[in-house]
Amino acid sequence: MRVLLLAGLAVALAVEPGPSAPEAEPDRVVQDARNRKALRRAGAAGILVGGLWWLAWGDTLHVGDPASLLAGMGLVAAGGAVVGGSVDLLADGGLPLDQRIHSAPVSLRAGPGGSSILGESAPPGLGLNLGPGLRLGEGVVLILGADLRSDLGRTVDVDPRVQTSFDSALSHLAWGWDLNPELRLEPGVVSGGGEGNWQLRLRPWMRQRHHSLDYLDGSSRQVRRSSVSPQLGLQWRLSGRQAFAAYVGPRWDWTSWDEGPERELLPPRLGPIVGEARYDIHTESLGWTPGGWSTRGRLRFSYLHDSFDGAGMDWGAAIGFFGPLVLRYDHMFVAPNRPLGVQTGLVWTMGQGGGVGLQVGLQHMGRSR
Amino acid sequence: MTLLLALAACARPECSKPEYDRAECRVQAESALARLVTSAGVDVRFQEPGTEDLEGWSAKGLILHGEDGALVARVNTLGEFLITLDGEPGETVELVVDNVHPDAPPLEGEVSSEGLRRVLAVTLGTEPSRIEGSLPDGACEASYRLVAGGDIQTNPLQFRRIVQDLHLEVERADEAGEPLLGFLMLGDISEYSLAAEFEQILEILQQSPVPAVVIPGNHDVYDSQDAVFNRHFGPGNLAFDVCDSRFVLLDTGSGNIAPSVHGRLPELIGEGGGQLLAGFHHPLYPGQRGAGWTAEDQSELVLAELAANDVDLVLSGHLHMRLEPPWSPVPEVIVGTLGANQGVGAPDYGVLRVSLDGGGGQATDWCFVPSPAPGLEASPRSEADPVICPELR
Repeated sequence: MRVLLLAGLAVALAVEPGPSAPEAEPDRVVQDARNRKALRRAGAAGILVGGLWWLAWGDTLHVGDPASLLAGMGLVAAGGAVVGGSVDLLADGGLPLDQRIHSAPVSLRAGPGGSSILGESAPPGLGLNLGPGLRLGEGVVLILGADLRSDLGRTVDVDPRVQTSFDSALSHLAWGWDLNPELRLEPGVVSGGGEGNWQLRLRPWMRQRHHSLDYLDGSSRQVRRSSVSPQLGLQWRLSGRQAFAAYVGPRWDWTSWDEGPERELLPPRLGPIVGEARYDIHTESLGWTPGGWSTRGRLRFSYLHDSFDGAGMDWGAAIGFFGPLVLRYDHMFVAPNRPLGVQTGLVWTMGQGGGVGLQVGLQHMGRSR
Repeated sequence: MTLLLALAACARPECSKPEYDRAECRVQAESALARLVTSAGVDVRFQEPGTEDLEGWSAKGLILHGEDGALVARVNTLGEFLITLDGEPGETVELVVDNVHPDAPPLEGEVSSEGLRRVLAVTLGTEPSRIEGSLPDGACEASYRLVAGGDIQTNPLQFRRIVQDLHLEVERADEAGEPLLGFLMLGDISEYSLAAEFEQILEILQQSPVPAVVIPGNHDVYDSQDAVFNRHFGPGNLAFDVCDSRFVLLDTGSGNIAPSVHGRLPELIGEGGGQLLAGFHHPLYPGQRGAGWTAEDQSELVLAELAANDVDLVLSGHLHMRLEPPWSPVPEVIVGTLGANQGVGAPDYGVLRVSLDGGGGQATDWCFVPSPAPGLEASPRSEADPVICPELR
């Protein structure tokens, strides 16, 4: 039965939903639809292979990360292509290069705090994100990605045992940073072609998190977690306004803690595989352009196969296998004849340990990355 | 600001609404279920062994009325335990204490015993009556053994065979002069968190030659309305001493431990001195097998705390196989081999035997005791780690 359900889902996602917008340019429309069809099929194949891998090995999960990764990436690829097909039915599939938006070169990110549990507190979080791009040559771009983040206070959890007075059991403060530079190569452009449909991406993702813990017995512990994950990625521009990108790479972790004045370090170890799949849909003006301002947006649907920060999707008894699904919408507002615009973003990380965040940054009217 | 004030006004005490698919609410459930006041007003509590402060109580077991109405206290630790009874002086209370080692000394007021069960008739005094249990005499003089495993799920009949094979393991232990003191069960003892599944496992455990300590897995805790695991087995977050060794077994059924349990970790780990063994359902370090804690950040913090306390062995299940993860930064064994589906190929069922030095030394050794499925002569994975015990190869 589970095999039949899985096969049914895969077939449903692989089926062509219908013709694209008839008034758009026929050749491009046909090519865009073919691209999405190919991605849908690849995504369906990912779900099928990942799911069969799971079913074949049961919970033994001989090297189970790739199975979950394939299924999660397949879901984004196939689901994104289905949504993307619907979007292109409603709007022209093309969009000039300079009207697509990208991650802001500099932005602030805030996550709301608050707890509905009496006596507990969950502080808001604040982050500074840097992502300026440098064009190193035709078809070669370097994004200098960096991120600083911190809780703006301590998270407090109470002891809920009925024989206690519900005092604080754990107080926790976390902060950290990411270094996430990314080199993007467009082979078609490098070789003298026009706009490239494929982009090769390389990113060494380095992260460090600091945790300050105060325990119930009055003792405390400072822990530092670090990881490095060199990843290889590929972006496929499916149409003028839609793109799919996937990254994958190994991860090494090491953890250390304070022991008096000394710092103890556990041996570095190979961690879970890291992967990410993104489907981007760029949108044009909302139709509301006060004072001649122009606006544009981007919807991003992604799966991150990584629980380094404790987020993941659990369903029923399927606990601990998947990373989070992330839904993100960015919108840029540009005043007439100004080189800079304001870019806002709303991020929803779904699942356990997830949450929502709001991002505000500055964006320049640059060229495509 | 108004919105924030409104939200603050909506705050409610932790777990005032049943959400037993959350680890924190199971902490509250296990605490509540370690005490019972009968209709006659007799107050029965599990306490920290050796304590003189009897104002509170401690989640070391489950107190309930059994099917025939008898008052039952199921111990969910190994080693010493303490149960107190308080009520009308002169009243005699019948109490069944379950899951006690058959070779342990008689309990106060014991009138009969059979297998793991002791039947007591306790006459109450003006001070709370103390029922103090202990290990078998001489258990800590030399080395001793435990067995461990997780993951029964849809195959309780194979688990029944494994429990029957434990009687052979007791004989082997006695021949080696290392008594078998208990069975650590590492979660996923059911498939659907159903009461009927737990009742079947409890019935099978009545055939066990040694007491079983049980913690939940992800398959045991996804009924949000009913703390069904705790109602059958008691606490899923445990810390207890066996001889000089400290055991810390925690409930990771929801992919994390409850934050309050995390906050009590130093207290649960204790002062140290002997060996430290930890147990979870989800592996602390699963490698590339896609089966870790959802709260991976928390598992790393727990790993650091255990490593800082020189943990000797971390046991877990969840993966339906036996495995010593090659990159694990601490000694770790995964042994989810109590009967659950192992996918394609011949299954490899059995338990892990752990040998410890009862005399305060640091020796900890382990090997696998196969209980092959019917039709198999031996384990199909003869070369896997942890290795099969030498006399069983």
